[in-house]
Amino acid sequence: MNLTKVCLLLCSILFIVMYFNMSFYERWLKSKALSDNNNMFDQMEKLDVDYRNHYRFGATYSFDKDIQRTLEGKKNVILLLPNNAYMKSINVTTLDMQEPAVFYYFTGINAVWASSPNVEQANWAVFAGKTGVRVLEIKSQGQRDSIISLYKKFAN
Amino acid sequence: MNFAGLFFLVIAHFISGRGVLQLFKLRLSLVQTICFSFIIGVPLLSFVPCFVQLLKIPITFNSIYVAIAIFSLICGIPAVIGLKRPKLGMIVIPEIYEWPFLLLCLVLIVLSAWRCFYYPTLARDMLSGPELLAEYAVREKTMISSVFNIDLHTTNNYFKSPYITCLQIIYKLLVQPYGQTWMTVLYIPFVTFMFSMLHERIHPFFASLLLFLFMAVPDLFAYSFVMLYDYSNMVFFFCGFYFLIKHLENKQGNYFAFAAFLFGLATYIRVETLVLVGFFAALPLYVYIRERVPVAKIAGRIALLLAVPLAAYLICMQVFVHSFVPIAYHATNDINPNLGDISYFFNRIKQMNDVLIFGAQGLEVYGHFFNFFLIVFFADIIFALANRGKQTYNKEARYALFGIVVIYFGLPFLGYLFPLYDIMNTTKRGLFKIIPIMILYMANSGLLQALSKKISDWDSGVNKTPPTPKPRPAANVATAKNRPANTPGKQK
Repeated sequence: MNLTKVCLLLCSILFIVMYFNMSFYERWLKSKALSDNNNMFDQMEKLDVDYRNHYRFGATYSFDKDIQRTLEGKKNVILLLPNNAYMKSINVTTLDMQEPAVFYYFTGINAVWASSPNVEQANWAVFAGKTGVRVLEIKSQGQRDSIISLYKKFAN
Repeated sequence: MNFAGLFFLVIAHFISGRGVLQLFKLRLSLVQTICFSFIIGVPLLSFVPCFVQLLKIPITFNSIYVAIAIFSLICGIPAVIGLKRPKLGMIVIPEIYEWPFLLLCLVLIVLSAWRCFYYPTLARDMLSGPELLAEYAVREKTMISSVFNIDLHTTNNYFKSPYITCLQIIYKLLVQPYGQTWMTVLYIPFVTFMFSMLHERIHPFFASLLLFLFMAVPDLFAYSFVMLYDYSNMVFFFCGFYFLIKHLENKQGNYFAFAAFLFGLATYIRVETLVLVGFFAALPLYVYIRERVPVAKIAGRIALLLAVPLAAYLICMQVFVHSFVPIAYHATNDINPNLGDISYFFNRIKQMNDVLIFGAQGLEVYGHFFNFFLIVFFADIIFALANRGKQTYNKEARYALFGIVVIYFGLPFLGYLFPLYDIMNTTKRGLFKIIPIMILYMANSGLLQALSKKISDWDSGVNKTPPTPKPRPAANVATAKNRPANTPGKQK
């Protein structure tokens, strides 16, 4: 190996050291590129699709699956969902309430928001209150209207 | 994961891409031929589920498998006809000083490929659009699925190009439930091509360094495994620009046609690319006029450059949206109703500068990449001023600067035309297109070229012992003795 190559090798090593010494790239390397949460070797032992979904989507995915189990076997369900603004107003911050299209992707359940054009067809609702979040069947127009008007206050 | 399915698809991408590449009769190196075969093969296969759907055949593992096999064989015919024994050059092992950069690049490639496989699709734009359509197309065996019966008032993502939807259908059926691994099939050939392209232009030390800078742009790396349209769009847009430049240098029509084809693919992936291609048409127009090319030829070429992306646009908007999306779409609704207010355009430029290029948000997205570029750019200006009289900007550098300017002003213009083209998402990712062009500029930078030459001279000077001068006939050699009196001696 000649002197030029040795010098260039040292230059490349020096450049890389300086590069990852810049605070931004140091942080990027540790928190994004090589973070412990993304450890490839750990992940190789956890290849189950459901685990990976839970890992990526967190509580929201579990919430969706719970609703799916609750409504299993029910026909022609149109589920009224609260939106994120409403959930935040009752201090539920761990759940990311999805829009109807994304909810359908995870659950196969037809859902609507209070702002949806076909909200009047909703026959089930995710009701979130101070006592918790539950799925209930809408049995009357008055019940539907009261939930819709509650959620509409926070509609986008 | 179905490795046999992945292997089949990789071969199918290669064969179909190689066949289409053969049609253009380009003279590329073996590495670049292989890279472009894969790169082109990815969007080509995305047409297959559309054909299957148009023929009203259920979308199943078997139908897609057979359709891909037939499609690849048909596309591969030109490659078989023009088959020649490949010229296998010597395998060039990177120099020792390139390895630190290349090892880091390799780590990034492995991480990207793994995350592409491991993580489900995350982006909301995908989950409410192409990924949703693909998932239900697989479940219900048709692209006109139950998705169109649900409440879609919060999204318009189902109107987007069929590129991702169809690739997801293929990869979900043949490879793994999340699909997505096609991104790695595109990513690896593209970075390999970038490395090969840089190696042709600059000293290997700088080539590896620039490749590393390119691959370590934080969001660019992230979007190599987070599924969205922008990384693919950047790949085809840059390749189109690269071959347009090659055409302007070698004047060969097949390079121009290939550039138009690649711009067409970029437009197929993101339809608004058509506007940027329109701006790019100014470059060949200017060069042709300067070179006094006949008007008819200029008109034909510019028409071709615009017609191919326009055809891609029409395929997306007329064929795909009309055939596979049973909901009316009016593109005019997306256009800014107040086009007379130009201040919106300048406001967009300001926002792009303040938020993305020089702002704190920009640092998170692009790291210090723009700063590196600006350092090289201003150093080049100083270098050019210090070397007045010498040409320090080669043609490619000037073309690359033109490309940078077009994207710099083109993206805010798109934001002005389509208000949905926002700063924090669409413009942010649209700026990916400027990054490889900046890399191309840096590879042609006068200063880095001069440094490259110095390093090469130094290297060859250290390595090689000067050849023993052979005695030459006195008549041919102007020695000090027989040199005319007014001829200066060689200055050392």
